[in-house]
Amino acid sequence: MKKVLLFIIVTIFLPYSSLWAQYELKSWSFQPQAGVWFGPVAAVPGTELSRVLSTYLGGGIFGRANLPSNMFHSEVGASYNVYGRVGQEKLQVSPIYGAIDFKLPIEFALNFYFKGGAGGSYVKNSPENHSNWLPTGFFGFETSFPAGKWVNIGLRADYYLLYEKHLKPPVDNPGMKIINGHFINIGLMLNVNILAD
Amino acid sequence: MKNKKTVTRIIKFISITGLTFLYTCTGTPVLSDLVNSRISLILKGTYETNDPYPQGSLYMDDALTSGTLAVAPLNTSILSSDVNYFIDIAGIRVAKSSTQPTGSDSSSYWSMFAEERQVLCSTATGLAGYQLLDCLSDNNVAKLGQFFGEGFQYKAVDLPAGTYQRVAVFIRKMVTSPATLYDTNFAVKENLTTIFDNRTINGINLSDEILQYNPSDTLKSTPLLFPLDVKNAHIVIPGDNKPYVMEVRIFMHNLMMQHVISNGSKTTAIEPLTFAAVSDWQANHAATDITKSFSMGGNLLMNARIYVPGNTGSIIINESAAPAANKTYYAVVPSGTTFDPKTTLPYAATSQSAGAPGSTGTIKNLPPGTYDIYKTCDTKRMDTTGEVAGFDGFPETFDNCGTPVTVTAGASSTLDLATCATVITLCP
Repeated sequence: MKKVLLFIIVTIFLPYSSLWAQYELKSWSFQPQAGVWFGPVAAVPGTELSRVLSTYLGGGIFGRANLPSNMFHSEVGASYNVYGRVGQEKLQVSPIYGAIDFKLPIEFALNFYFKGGAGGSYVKNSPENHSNWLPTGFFGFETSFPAGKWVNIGLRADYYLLYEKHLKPPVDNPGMKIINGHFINIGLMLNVNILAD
Repeated sequence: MKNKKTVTRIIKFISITGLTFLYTCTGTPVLSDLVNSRISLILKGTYETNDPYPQGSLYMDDALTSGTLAVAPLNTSILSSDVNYFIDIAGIRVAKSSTQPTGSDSSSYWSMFAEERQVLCSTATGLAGYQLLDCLSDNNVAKLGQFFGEGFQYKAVDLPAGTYQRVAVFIRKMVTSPATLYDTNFAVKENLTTIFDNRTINGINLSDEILQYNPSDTLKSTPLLFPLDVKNAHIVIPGDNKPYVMEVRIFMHNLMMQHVISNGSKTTAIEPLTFAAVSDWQANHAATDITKSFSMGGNLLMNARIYVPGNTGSIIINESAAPAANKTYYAVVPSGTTFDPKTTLPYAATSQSAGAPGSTGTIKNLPPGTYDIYKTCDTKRMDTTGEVAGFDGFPETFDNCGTPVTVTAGASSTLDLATCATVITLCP
């Protein structure tokens, strides 16, 4: 039984490991990209904010460059997202983040990225029009395919944690319940290779 | 070399975002603000802002006390305990100016802060045993009792700071039962039915025309229930974070009257219709006028105010005379403002009850300030000749005490009406 298992594993990984080896053998070269995205944005369903904010639209820009490795990239991005346009309440969120992207090292028609990072978000609510900057955690997933030498088209899903629990309730409303914000932004994206070989 | 430069750039980017992260550690909670409403919106169906009178009997319209329709069984009293109410409210809105500028769109004029529909019902059972689903849900039968008592909580979101002059309640439907149509021999022809909450119920829809249009509005061009509004509420929402209560009152409780319409079947035949609706204190209900008998709008008044819980005081009013037989109230308005009981409800009011030395009443939840004290009472009613002595539930008569009272937070101020600058004579 053990032998059979070993055979299966080796059979699966044999071609894969050769691809890997081939990939790593490629010499590192600087591969910057710049892109835009837009799509539906929403508070994560089930969270307290999802009860007062509805799904609306967001869009953003990002830039990316690989680190001295073809698997890891650094990414910076900024976006503008509006949540909840149905009733009176509305939230505008503009995150700026830096992230490390891990590109799945497989040779396939699609590229897959997993991202993690942090930054800050400018938030402004309506109708009170209160605003602030909040520390922000960022996780993302992206899949794209190259459409020619210059352009990549894809889909990205970003999760933002807007951390607000470090703030104290206002002195004139000590009973205020402090919450964090959880948002999910999904976007169609288009990015270009700036220095295509 | 090129690689090194790139790596330095990347480190710079990450440092900038890291600094942004660290920069963000003080200030107002913005997200929490969205889920913590400062506002607590209370809707009441009473003249009084606190301690309303218990439910009294229905008043009888003059057409049922004299004339050709003042005969049995038309003038057999409808008991107030037999009256069922079904009220469907689409929402409550406020606006900064009293009138919507011509050409402006509604969404920019109104602040839509309480857009959730509320249904208030006496019962959740319709005809043929069908359940009224919206009446069943959300405790809506109990809410009607609260509406005619100390009020019920209406779901609302916060308002931007500012001064709001107009407060409007959009009443989508109002039904009362029983409503009985008689034939030309005054024998019962049918119990009227209507639709509420998608089910057939006994009753008459008062909101399609009866309470919607003033009798003088022959073209039926100005709806008075959609919305029912007050245009000089002067609600000031401060720009701080303090929770506050907005109290909206519609005077219906103890203002109900038994009415009759001679051509109830809307034909020329004298087939009377009897039903319960608000009193015709403002303009006489033309019970036998074939064009106006279905119009008695304008008899509902409303008002709104705000206060910050914990920053209020009260005024205790005493007088030596025993409580009057007719409905008598103690009312206040902020000092210096004009009080006209026929155009708007007083800022705050309470019922008169027996107490030492003879009568007493406490007006609660008043923000600190100076108030003019009034005593209001019902001494008149409408008949075909106009206003005459009688009772219709509406306290149109008033006395100004003339001695303002100052309220401080957390304290009660007491006023003996015998010490008023003006002698109370009209509401003895």
